[in-house]
Amino acid sequence: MHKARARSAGRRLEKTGILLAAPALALLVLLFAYPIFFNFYMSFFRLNLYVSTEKTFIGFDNYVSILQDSLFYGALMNTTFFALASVALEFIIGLVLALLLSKIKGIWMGILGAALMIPMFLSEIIEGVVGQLLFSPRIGLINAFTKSLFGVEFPWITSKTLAMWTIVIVDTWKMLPFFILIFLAAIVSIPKDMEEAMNLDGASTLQQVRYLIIPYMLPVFAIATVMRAIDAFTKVFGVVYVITFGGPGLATDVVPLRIFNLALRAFHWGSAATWGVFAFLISTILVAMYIFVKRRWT
Amino acid sequence: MKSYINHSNIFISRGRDMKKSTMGMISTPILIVLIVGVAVVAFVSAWYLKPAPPPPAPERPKEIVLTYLCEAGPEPEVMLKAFDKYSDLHPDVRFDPDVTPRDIARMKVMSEITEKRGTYDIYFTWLQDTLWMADAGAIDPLDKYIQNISSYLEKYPDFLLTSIQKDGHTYSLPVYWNSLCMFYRTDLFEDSAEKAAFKAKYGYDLRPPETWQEWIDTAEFFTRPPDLYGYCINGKAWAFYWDEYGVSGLQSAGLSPFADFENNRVNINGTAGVELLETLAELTKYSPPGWEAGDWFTFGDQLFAEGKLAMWHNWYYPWPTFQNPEKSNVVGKVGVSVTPSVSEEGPHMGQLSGGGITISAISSEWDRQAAAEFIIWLLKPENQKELALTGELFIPANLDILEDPDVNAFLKPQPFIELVQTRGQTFFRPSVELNEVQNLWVSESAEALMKIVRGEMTAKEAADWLATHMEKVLRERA
Repeated sequence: MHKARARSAGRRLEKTGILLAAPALALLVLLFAYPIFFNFYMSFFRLNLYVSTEKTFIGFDNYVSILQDSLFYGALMNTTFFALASVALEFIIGLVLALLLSKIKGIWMGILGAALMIPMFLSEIIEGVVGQLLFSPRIGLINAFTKSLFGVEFPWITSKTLAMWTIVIVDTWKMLPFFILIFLAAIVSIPKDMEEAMNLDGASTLQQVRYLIIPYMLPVFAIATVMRAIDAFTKVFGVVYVITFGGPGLATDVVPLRIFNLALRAFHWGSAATWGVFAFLISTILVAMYIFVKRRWT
Repeated sequence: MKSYINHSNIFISRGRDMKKSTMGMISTPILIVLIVGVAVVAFVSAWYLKPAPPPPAPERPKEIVLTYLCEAGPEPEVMLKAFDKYSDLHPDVRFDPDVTPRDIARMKVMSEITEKRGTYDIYFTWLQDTLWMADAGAIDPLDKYIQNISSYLEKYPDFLLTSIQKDGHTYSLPVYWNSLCMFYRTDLFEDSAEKAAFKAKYGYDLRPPETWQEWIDTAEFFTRPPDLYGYCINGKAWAFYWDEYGVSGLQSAGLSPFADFENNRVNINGTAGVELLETLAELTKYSPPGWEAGDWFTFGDQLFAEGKLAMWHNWYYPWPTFQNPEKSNVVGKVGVSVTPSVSEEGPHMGQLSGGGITISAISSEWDRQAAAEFIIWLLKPENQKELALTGELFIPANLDILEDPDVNAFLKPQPFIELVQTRGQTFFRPSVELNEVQNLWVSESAEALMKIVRGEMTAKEAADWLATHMEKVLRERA
């Protein structure tokens, strides 16, 4: 009887919470749900603003066209490669740096930690400009350095294979702090008594990492990786736009750049919306993975 | 454990209070409907309850603010100097410039057209944008405000007029114009030892290239790395398309992706189109390292100014830079020639660019009137001269300005004027298609070149691949 009353009271309280959050939720619906539905709606039309502001219903033609377009698969492959490579690189380097930072005590941890965070707060365009200054074939600092030391230069942004890796490296520099921040917070939260117990048992640092830190951090690994993968897949734009503009040729052509070109350079809104739908579907799969992982590990 | 029990008690206590209120009686579906309803009402309100436009002022306001939209870049930005001067002379007129990157500026223009916002009073409008903006109702004809417009037009070269006039109306009075040309090193091309060596190797006289084969031969001849390269292909997609492939290359072969616009067919993969791609791929061998990521602004212009290129195909605009001893190692050593063509007969010079101030058709009447007064002031010879002496507007559209001794001494425009007058064969009117669909095959054109350079395709295969893509774009546009 007492339990049933408590459950009923809890449900009512939940409804009250929803009601109180209603204004914010309404705003979310307005700002997120409406554009998504409008994008779906637009994907069934031909609307080329340079030609006319009138739209024509064409059913699934935009979808058929994209699915038959080899450029779509090329951009999709490039975007996937970027997301996988950048997340993997950021994960590994982020973990190592977080482990090292966790060993530093006192004010230096704060200073170093804050310094490492700076790139994450820069805009994508600045990230791209920094990338150009580092990797440009003419003024790039990296090649100037390697040439003066070893007499060699690398085709960082001029080679088909290396150009995407260069984009990955620049993005890793910017987004590494995301992993460091999350991993460091997780490492710091590991109970001290467990560490002490392992010390008493004579465990080496590597053994502590292998048998304590990594198992303890598995949920954090999973959640951070999926979150960052969503971000990497959907937001790789500014750095590509500034450094390579998708080139050489189509070597670094990515889905957001193609949507940008269709929507805001050619103003073919129907096609752009359809590309957006595909990007949305892929993001949805990644979000579903995120929710699954979160439920599984927390 | 104690903490948990305490929390439960708080829950139960609050629940009891809630039971008495109506809040607790609302079911979850009703809540969801409420939330969506609030969102929909907010959206509909925002959509339909737009503030009404203010009624037109019966008298001219004491202060007028002219909002100016332009792309970031030397030509549109040089107008800011004119604004300052005009405001000093006319304190009742102020300017509110919105200088923004090209893509953003284009989006803002499109918003003005589709939503009739009236945010801007004046634009810096490129020649290729003028008539589609007029068709879309974005800009007003200037002859509505400027009575004796023919007195301005008679000072312009004839080929400019087709880009600014329609149905008897003039929509822009450009302050400058521009075209493509081949810069070349006169000290190399006129050197007797070089001439002799060239003739011995290729069997004909050395001259600035007029055909594609000559282009390849001269580029090969002058390639002496790392200090000198024969030419520099633009690898960055947009620069490649606008400088070498789409605009000048195809036209110089008499080809166009818009040749059969009605039937969505392109003619770029015939013999001449394939030869063009072969030529450009061959020229990459004589281009400096890093060409794949190069464009005019960040690569080729600097290399030519440093004296590392024997030839450089680009718009006229860097000419004043090449004549500036502080920025150039090739002062007095630069000549200009035509765009090489499939044959000697040409056509050799194609694309035309330029721009000027236009008046928004959506802004208020007094603002438009004030904008017209500013344009009339801007077009006065003394103000045109001042703009020309900035070196950013090359070549001034008003040809009289070029006869001014100061301007002539500063810009040294004679080689270009002679080139245009004697060799400029085809100036075609820039069109809406330039803005629209070409953006959708710029990267693919660069990829076609790369496929040949990487050995993945022959020139014919690459041309077919590109043609297939272009025709798909055209079909889906229709």
